[in-house]
Amino acid sequence: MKANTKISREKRKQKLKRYLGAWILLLPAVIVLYLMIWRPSFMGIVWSFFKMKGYTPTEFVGLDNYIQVITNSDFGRVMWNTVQYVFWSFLIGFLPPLLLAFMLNEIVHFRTTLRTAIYLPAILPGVSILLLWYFIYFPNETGMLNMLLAKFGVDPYVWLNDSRFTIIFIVIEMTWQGFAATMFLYYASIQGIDTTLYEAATLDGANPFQRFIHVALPQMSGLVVLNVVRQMIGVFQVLQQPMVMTGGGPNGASTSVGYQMYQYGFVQGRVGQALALGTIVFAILIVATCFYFYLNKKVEENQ
Amino acid sequence: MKAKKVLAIVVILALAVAAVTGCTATQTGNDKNDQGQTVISVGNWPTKEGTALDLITKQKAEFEEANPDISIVPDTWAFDLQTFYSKAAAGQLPNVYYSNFTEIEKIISGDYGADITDGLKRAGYENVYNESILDLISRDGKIYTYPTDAYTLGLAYNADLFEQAGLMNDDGTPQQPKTWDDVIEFGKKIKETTGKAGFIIPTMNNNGGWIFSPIAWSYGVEFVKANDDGSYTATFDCQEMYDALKFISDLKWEHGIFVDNILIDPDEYYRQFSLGNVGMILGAPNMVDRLKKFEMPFENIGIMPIPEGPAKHVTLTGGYTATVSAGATEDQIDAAIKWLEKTGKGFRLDDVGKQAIEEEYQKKIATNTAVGIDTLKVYKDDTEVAEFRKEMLEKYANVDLNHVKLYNESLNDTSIELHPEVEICAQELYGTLDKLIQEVLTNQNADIPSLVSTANKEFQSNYLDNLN
Repeated sequence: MKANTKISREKRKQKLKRYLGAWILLLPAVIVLYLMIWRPSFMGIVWSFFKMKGYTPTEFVGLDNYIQVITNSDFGRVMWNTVQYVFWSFLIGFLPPLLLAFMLNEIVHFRTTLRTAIYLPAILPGVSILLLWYFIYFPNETGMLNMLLAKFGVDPYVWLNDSRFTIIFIVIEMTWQGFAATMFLYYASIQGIDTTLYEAATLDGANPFQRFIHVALPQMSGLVVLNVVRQMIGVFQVLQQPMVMTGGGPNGASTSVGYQMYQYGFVQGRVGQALALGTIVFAILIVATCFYFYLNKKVEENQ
Repeated sequence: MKAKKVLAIVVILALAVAAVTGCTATQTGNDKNDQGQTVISVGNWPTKEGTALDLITKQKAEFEEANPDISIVPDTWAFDLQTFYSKAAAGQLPNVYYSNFTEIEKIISGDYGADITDGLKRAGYENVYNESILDLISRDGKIYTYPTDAYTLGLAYNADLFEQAGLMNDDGTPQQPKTWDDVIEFGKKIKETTGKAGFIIPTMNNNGGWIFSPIAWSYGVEFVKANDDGSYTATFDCQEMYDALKFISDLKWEHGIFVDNILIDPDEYYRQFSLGNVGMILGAPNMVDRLKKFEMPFENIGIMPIPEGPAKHVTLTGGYTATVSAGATEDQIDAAIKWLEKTGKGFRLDDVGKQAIEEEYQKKIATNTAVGIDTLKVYKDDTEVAEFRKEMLEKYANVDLNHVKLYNESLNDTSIELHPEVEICAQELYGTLDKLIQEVLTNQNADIPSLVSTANKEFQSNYLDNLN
């Protein structure tokens, strides 16, 4: 036993020496990560237990900030809204990039043109997209969708003002804004699939739909699962959309956890509560991220 | 395993050290430069080339020539809550920074403003402030901020739509809706003759609550009551509040004089008004900057006093103020007051003040801003500044003075109560009110009493019961 540990210690020393150069190369990244991510996150967690005067902690108050955040009557509503964002973004946002990637792979002509056209939403600046959709959804006859409805003789609809569906309409916008990047991940993955598999399936008389279900999907299932988890983590933090398009309304119907945090921190000046809510979200997302890494490992093992 | 452990310990130690040292930044006490001049940095410095920058640069040069012992350092930071706390914590606020009255509570309670009481005394500011203003800027008899402009909300209207609806008098002044019921009648006339919305209020970003509060006050609502033991009670679960919200709800569902989009942030609010889609809104004189953005023709701009409610005639006061950052030395405070006087914000009407006031109007003309709406006086009536400002206002006016006459005259009308914002949890209250307003405007059958009752209870338990 003892000899064993000694040997392994020696080995480790050698290893460290061998990788010293690598460590040095990593240093700038580590410093930046430390200053930009680790330290703020750590300080945020620590300060969430303090009474804050602006950004200066004044007094240790234990769980006070957390109690205030959780007992706030908006907390449950905001959490539920956020879950709805995640749920709808899964339901609405999951298929389009996958199907488009497959279609793009199947078509023969104009592939490059289409690829560029499909990617266009992803290169527009975020806030301009939101303002664009603000006018697409505008709830009188000057809104774009209502103009279309008018062509069919339908009265203008209030879109984002309809609190039952506000989140769904926002998620549709998010899908439009975000699907291109995901689609290209899938597209690259499909391109990596052995073409002989396709040829064999085609010879066996499989139509494109069957090829998608039986050939492409099993090959890229790992990536799909990872993307879904990644998307959940991303959507859980949604902030921009409700902030720009609805202000979290009507009557709080689209307020997400992220937007609530923004309200605490930058509108109401309740820094302690903002940090506490941030820490709660951080904890939830850490669990999700661990799950992601676990899946990622599984996926890599399978390949 | 050991290397990993060591690494972990090192990381934790580093974080801990950083945690301790990270929060110890303080304001540097050095107020003099090498030449022995008192240095003050001044915020809100214009960033764009143009009239505003030219003017302030000229003022700086003149000021430094007249006061060789003072040096002004431009700082382009303008108040923004997203950066305010970090600036304050790092001791990097400009020595003189400007903000809305709304922020005074945060500034004073966070100790971010210097006590300028003695500095004001040294500069001769004895008994010069309007009573309603003095309450806002002082705590326990000490003054912490230097108000530069004040305003009240009025009923802004689009003169073109009023003309079309036959609501203008022969002498070029508008007919005045005396009550909120009159506003509805006027709104209906505008809707019938022009097809445009009659009257709207904003509903988002806490602006709904802010603009709605004077309406509620006029119905007899007081939102918060201060108790003797220092606690606060939410007091808006009452019939008056139901009536005020019913008025908002009726604008849309009963009378159809609201706009279709009920998610209205400030931009959308002034955009609809500027474009002539709305007849009347509640606005303050400083709305002209917003109207400029959407190119509202000057001849359409009009404003008159806010209508009277069932309980009283009341309006909201607000304004701008300059704060000397905490930790400033006496010399810096004196220098700051001198500089504010140089820019035309003082109570004395000497040549410096006169010149600055006139230059300010010239700047507005040069930057294509509407001039003609008078503002509430910061200083008492017996100061000459008000008179001179009025003279200059009329000299440089580019809006039809008949369109704003009723409002300008009402500034001397003592029968209109001047009401500041609620003193505690203002933003939280506005957020709560925003939601109520949005609900009654999206839901025709909203049960107003039960909504208000819940909101009142939640505002109490979420915020008022959690004051430190």
